[in-house]
Amino acid sequence: MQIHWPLVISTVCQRVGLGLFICAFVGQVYAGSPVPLSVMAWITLALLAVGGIASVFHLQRPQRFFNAFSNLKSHLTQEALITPFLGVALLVCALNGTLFDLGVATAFVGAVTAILAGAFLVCTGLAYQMGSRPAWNTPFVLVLFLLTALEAGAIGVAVLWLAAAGLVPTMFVVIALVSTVVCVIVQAAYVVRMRSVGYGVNVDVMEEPYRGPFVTWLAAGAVVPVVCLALVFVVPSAAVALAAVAWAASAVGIAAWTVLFFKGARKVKMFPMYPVDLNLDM
Amino acid sequence: MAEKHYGMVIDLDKCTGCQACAVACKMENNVDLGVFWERVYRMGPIGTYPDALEMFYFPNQCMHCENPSCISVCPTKATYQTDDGVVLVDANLCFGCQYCIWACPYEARTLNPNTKTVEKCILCVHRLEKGEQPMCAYTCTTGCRVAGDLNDPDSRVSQILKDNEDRAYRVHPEFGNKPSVVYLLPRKGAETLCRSIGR
Ligand code: SF4
Ligand code: SF4
Repeated sequence: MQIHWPLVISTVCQRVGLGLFICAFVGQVYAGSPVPLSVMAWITLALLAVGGIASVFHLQRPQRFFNAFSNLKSHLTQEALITPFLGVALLVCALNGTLFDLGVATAFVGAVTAILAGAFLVCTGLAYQMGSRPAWNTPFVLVLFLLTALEAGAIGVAVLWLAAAGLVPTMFVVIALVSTVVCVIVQAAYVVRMRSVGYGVNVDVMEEPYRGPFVTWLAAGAVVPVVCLALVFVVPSAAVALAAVAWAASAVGIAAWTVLFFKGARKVKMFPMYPVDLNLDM
Repeated sequence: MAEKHYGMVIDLDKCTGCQACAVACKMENNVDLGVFWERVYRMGPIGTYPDALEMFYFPNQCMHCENPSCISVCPTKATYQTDDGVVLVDANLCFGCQYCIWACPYEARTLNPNTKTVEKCILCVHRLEKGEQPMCAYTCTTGCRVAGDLNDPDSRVSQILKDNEDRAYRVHPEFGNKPSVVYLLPRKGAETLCRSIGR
């Protein structure tokens, strides 16, 4: 399948942004946070705005955007329906503490926003899980959408906490490291699965045109974040820089992974046992 | 009597790959350059001449599935199904997200770069409603295509299917789309395919 760059950008922004908010909210509930949730909400809103603009560019007739709310069974409609609620909820979280003070309701609004963020990610993940594309015909698709968001979110929270307070609970770096490792393992399983999806469309990531994005993902999405996060324990004086590099690399890794994800989603062949020629040159 | 359900039968034993159907479709429906509602693929050749050689032609278009995956994914409801079972796209609603192109397992849809909406075979409903055959079937040089009401046991399409039950095949039934376009497998020249589907 050709790469749909606007969708690569929008899904990367969604995962990095929404993952950050969800992890920040959970972190605040369980450990308190030196970074106000409103800061996290602003960052998430900025990333969602970039992603939203990119996804509108994917539409061939963006002026008809409002038609997207028509089919409740479509995961794209579900995504479109969640978007305004999520946007408003994030905006409320972002303005909380400056324009108004939600007081004891802060945790409740944060929880609702985190749930909407999770629901949005689930809808996006499900939208790509389709039978007609053997590489995507697996629950791995949804699981990986959520895991990549968790990975980028956990690293992002560690970076911002370190930058704000100079320290982050060890548990949080461990969570970031473990979620990255788990994510890499599941991504590796997805790659292995692609080798034998059948229908004449098996994908070997060591061959062109998959090799480039695969190697990029391996370096940026797996090796760099894992090494940098591990080094946080070895060289605590460079913790902020190391975590920041891990966060940036993780975002690049998710982008490379998404490119591979699109390239690998080849359409089934009608009859895989025959070489198929489209006879337009006849 | 049950509602009408339009469909088509295509006899792969008769198709010579002449492409007349693809050209007729373009002319009848004024299909833009670079857009195809109908294509004819060549399957093979594989094997060795004379005894083990396999090759046949495979005309491909929207299968007007009973359970179309393109409809459930379409966020705008631009893709819809008529009461007669024909799957259509309302070009006034489509916003070109291309989700349906990905979801269709039969490579039936194309994004028209000029209108920026998705298009596909309409089974020439305008002709079917007048009791005429779709233009591809009307033009077919070998008469390998016949369209009609699959729910009417007396229709020509139902009769052909009844007489050729042993060769009737719906492509990729495992997807659950239940295509309304049924192929009659070639009697010779598609042994590998037949073996792989247990025929
Ligand atoms: S063949 Fe494809 S486009 Fe046609 S009805 Fe079936 S799923 Fe939809
Ligand atoms: S491209 Fe058009 S017809 Fe296809 S899913 Fe999107 S809105 Fe529906």
